[in-house]
Amino acid sequence: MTTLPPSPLETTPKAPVPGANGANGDKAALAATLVAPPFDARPKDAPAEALAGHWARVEGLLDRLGDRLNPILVKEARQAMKSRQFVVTFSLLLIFGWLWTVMFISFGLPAIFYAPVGPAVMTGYYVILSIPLIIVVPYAAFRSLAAEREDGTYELLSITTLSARQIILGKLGSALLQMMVYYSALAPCIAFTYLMRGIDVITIGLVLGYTFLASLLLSIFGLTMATVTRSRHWQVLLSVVFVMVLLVFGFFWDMGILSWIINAREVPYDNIDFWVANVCGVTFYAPVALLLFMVAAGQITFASENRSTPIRAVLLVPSVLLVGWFIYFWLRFDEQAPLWIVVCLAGAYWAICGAFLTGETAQLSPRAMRQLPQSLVGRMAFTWFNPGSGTGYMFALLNLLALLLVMIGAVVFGQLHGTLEVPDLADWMPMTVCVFGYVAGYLGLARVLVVLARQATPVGMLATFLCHVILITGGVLFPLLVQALISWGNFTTFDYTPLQLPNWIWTLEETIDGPVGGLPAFAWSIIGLVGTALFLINLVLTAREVEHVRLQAPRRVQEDEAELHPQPAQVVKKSPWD
Amino acid sequence: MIASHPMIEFRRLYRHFGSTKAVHDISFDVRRGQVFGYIGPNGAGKTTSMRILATLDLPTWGDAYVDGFSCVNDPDRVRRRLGFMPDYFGTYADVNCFEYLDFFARSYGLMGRERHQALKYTMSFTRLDELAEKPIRGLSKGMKQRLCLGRAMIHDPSVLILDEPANGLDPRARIELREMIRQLASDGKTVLVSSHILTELAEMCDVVGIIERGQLLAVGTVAEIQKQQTPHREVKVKVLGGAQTLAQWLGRRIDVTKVEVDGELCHFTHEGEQQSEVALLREMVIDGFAVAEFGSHSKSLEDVFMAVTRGAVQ
Repeated sequence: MTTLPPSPLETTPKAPVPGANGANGDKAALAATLVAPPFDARPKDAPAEALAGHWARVEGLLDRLGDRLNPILVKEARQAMKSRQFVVTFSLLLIFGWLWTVMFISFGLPAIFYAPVGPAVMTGYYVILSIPLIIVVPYAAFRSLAAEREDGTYELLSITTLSARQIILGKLGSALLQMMVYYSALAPCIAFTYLMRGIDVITIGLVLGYTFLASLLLSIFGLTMATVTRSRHWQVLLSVVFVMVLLVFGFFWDMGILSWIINAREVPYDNIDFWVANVCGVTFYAPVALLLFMVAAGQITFASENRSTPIRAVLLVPSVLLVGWFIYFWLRFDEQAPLWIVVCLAGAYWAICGAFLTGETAQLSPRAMRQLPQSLVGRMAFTWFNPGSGTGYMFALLNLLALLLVMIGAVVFGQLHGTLEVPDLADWMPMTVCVFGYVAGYLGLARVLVVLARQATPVGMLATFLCHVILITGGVLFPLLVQALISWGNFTTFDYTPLQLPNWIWTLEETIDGPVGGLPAFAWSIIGLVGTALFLINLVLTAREVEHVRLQAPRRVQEDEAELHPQPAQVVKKSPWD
Repeated sequence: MIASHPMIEFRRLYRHFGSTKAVHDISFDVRRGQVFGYIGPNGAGKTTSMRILATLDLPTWGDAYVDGFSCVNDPDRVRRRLGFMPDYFGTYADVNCFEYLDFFARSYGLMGRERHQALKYTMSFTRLDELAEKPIRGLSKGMKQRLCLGRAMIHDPSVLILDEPANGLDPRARIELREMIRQLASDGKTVLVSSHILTELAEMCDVVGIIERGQLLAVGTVAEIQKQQTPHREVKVKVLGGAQTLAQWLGRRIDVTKVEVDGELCHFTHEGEQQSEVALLREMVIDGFAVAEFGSHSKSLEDVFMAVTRGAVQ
């Protein structure tokens, strides 16, 4: 909180402005305005004040509550209530809701008195509601931030004491507020649906709840998109792309939900696994939403701040969830499938994360270096959270390795336990080695290329990501092409050969197939060795990034910090009970 | 406690965009309560350096400081102390003047009574009281400038950065703005103001800096710069019936050059302080010249600006 120095209003009236007492009447008038007494000093009408006292207290309470709200939410709410977009959308929602009700009752008579027509009437209301929720609100969130960046108001906002997260949160709050308004507007219609029978509260609740979550996620995604570029041309292109994405998503989403509403009786609400699957989905939804939020905030954070560490912390959550849900599903269903699925998902997840993380630059600002871990244990555990291409590579690989070790542990545990369904360790190891080898190899190779390229020219995160995409695509297509050329005219024996070692898709498929049609031992050994070699090369290249040590804050900053957050006086112990 | 350090400080500041050197090795400082005028042609690097100071951009090299805090490493501390008025309005649609200022007051963390007082004072100071409920889109340019000044000072910053605040304003609005800036300086605020209107800066600023092609060419008070650039003064003397004789008399002096005679008028340049001009006049009178008029002046700030800069842009 900023402590405002004594306001001129609280001080004694100032001397007239120098130079304002001359013959120029305008200057004198201006000077008089500049030293005008505060409004509080004006005489007030006492009876009126007494009468208004009750309301003033209420207003004061509301004002204090308003102080706690995000300033952007307050501003956006004021703006939105006056904006044409909101007025038009809200009016159309009410008009179409009313029209659908009238039409349904008119054409549905007399069936509505005895037939369960709830699902039918709900479909209409849902389509009316989903358009603002799935298309209008996320697009408004996207435009809201994009327009601020285009008009230059974002710059004014960024130099206030609001943090980037507060700005994004404020925009998101505004989207939430609009969602609430739309839900409230259609609430009577939803209640009417229930009265029409044939649809239960659980279905209504789940449908509305999931639509809310979808709208929220799309709004966060829209805000993230808005932070991608400042260029007006790119913003226009992004705007068009985003509308297309929303329309396509909205169509399929509505189809899915409408199908659910119509077939609600067939949904196994009484099956515990249905609810577990729902909870599982929501637990993955939360970190994805949080990650998008952190990315959006990171994009608009001042460049000298550490934007990477909070994102890396969030990246850990899905990984941990993956392990947790694997254990649950593995123990519950006692099948091998969760093992294979989790390993493939983990490899893909950390490969994608690593492709972005290796695009970071290793330059740490003195500001970021003030918060580096200091102790030996702290540095060992948390150095990989520091911004940088090398630490990003190691972060992704170490996390993948940890996950693979957990899986090996699970296999060993399953074999020792005896009753759990697990693959043989000899069959499992090739899969583990191949996943690690491919991720370490491809990420490592791309990183080495980027490090070399950076000696000549700046290489950004997007370029690094594209480099990864080209490498992994080329790794699949090039061996296929070469083998196709070699075996031209004789495709009947187009089998897996050592030439396909860079082809991660075919190799992993061969590994999953198992020992019968599976991978020769030398193949996965080579993949593992190449991956490990590239891992070690990158480990050496990362040495410079690991050498960073904490910097002390300048004295001026320490003084200011002491002023802002004075240390509480130390309590002197007078007895063992103090 | 009054800070011993400068309120604004540029230390070897560079900002290059590819091969364009927008700012190239700028160093100067501004003390508390000073109004610093930043003068330069378009594309000189004024806005770029001001944006770095306002924590909107990062320097390629070097640093800028506000109240001792680095604009690169401690932008949050700088922002609490700084109010920035860019060369564009940056206003929102569907918002009135009060709502606009209230939003920024909240954004600077002002709460409750503190915010209300800040709003009242700012609206009173910028004469926006009567326009509180007026939508921003209906404001004139002068009103918008006052609103933007209000936004920049709503959190009572100790440093104000004003990028061409008088640009496009009518004479009355300019005078009002100038008075406001003087008032802010007398309240102890440090002001960095850029402008093309040189004479106005000369009246308003304690110190001026002339910048061109990203480099600072001259810094000091207006008088210092004038003296630095033109150490001599132009003198005009009207002598009754003896201009030619006076010219010959002046020609023998080492502190006088460029003597020209125009009827009864004698023009020359004199190197030295005003005190020595007084001595010169006294000597003329003692030597019997019938001096009817004696006047001298140094070059105007505009002349100095033209002399210092070359009008080149990048």
